[in-house]
Amino acid sequence: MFEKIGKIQIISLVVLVAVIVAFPQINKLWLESTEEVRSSLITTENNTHYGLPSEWENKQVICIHFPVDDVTSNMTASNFTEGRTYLDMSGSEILIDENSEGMVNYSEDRTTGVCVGGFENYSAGFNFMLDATNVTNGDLEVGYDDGDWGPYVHTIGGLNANELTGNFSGAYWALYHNGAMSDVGIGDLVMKENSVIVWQIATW
Amino acid sequence: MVAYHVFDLNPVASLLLNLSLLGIICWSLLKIEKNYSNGHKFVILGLLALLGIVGRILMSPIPNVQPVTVIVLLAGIRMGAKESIFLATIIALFSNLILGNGVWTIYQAAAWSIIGCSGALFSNKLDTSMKLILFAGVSGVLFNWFVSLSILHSVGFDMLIPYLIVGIPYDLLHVVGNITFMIWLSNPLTEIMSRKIENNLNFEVSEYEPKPF
Repeated sequence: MFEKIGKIQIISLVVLVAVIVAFPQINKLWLESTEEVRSSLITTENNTHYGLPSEWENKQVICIHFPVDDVTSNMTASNFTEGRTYLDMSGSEILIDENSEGMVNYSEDRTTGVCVGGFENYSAGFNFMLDATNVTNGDLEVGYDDGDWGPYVHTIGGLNANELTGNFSGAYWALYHNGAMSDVGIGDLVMKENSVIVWQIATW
Repeated sequence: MVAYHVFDLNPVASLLLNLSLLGIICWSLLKIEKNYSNGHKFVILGLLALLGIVGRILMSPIPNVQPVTVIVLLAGIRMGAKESIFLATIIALFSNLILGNGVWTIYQAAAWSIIGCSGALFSNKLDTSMKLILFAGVSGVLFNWFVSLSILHSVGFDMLIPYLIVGIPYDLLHVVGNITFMIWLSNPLTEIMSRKIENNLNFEVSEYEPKPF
């Protein structure tokens, strides 16, 4: 049955084993090199740029979402507590036609807020955050403590998460990077060219 | 009491264990077949289904490297379309009882059936080993893409192309695996599948005719 084990059998087996052994590397390289193409193909809410101005495609964006119920009167970011505002790198507003295709309906708990975008070539997350929030001339001022694990952001736009009270034990500003909860703090976050950073209040 | 069976194997060790189990099973099954099979189609189909189920389960530590695609393809070419559909469905169902059953089972069964049927359709043209090897490689990609359609049950259509792009290294594994299995299995399986019935069991023909009341 296996009387004739020739060259081709041996070669095929060697190639198979080589491909299996190299597979994790091949897979990693492939995922990295195709990331931009893949994200540009996704047009629904699975794309982190969906609902953002189209000129921000493959550029860096920061969004800050304010919880509707906890908006306080002394917030410096009170300009941004209704709807969602889009600001370009100079701080001027980008108007999005609400009827146009690609305009996303941000219902849920992220109804209000502001996005600043169109940045390029940032790699350090914290530098990017400070520069991007600075375009509003202090409306979005970031308050943070320098801890052992890098900067700890407690206040954005006058909303101090530590001072929030309600039907929860505590609240904090949670950091999302490209749609997923960030594994690292803003001080250790390495930006990609298409990074969308989102801060929103989370509770425990 | 010491629990002798409770210890963790590392992935490589468990893969080697699986491969040796597979080797023993294949070797003994093929020996049994040679000694006892009278070449009846049911015996051969059962044997091939067992080989496919066991092969797929035991090779599961390596994604997409399994003998099923080659078995159904050869069954389609050497035995016929209906036989390959039977094998495809039985193997998909029984191996997924272990590997995880879900909506993808029907896609896997359908994809393997399509591969078997196209093998049957082109059986006259697949006359050299080179063509067989090429067909086995191509069917690996087609199988993966067809089964990927099952994600449309849970996500939008625009996710399909990015999902297929992510899967291309896995397609490569399936192609290389299929080619290797085709090179190794084509001769022994063809020999089993093309075996003519040697001893007629006389199931239908009976001398005895019951008397009418």
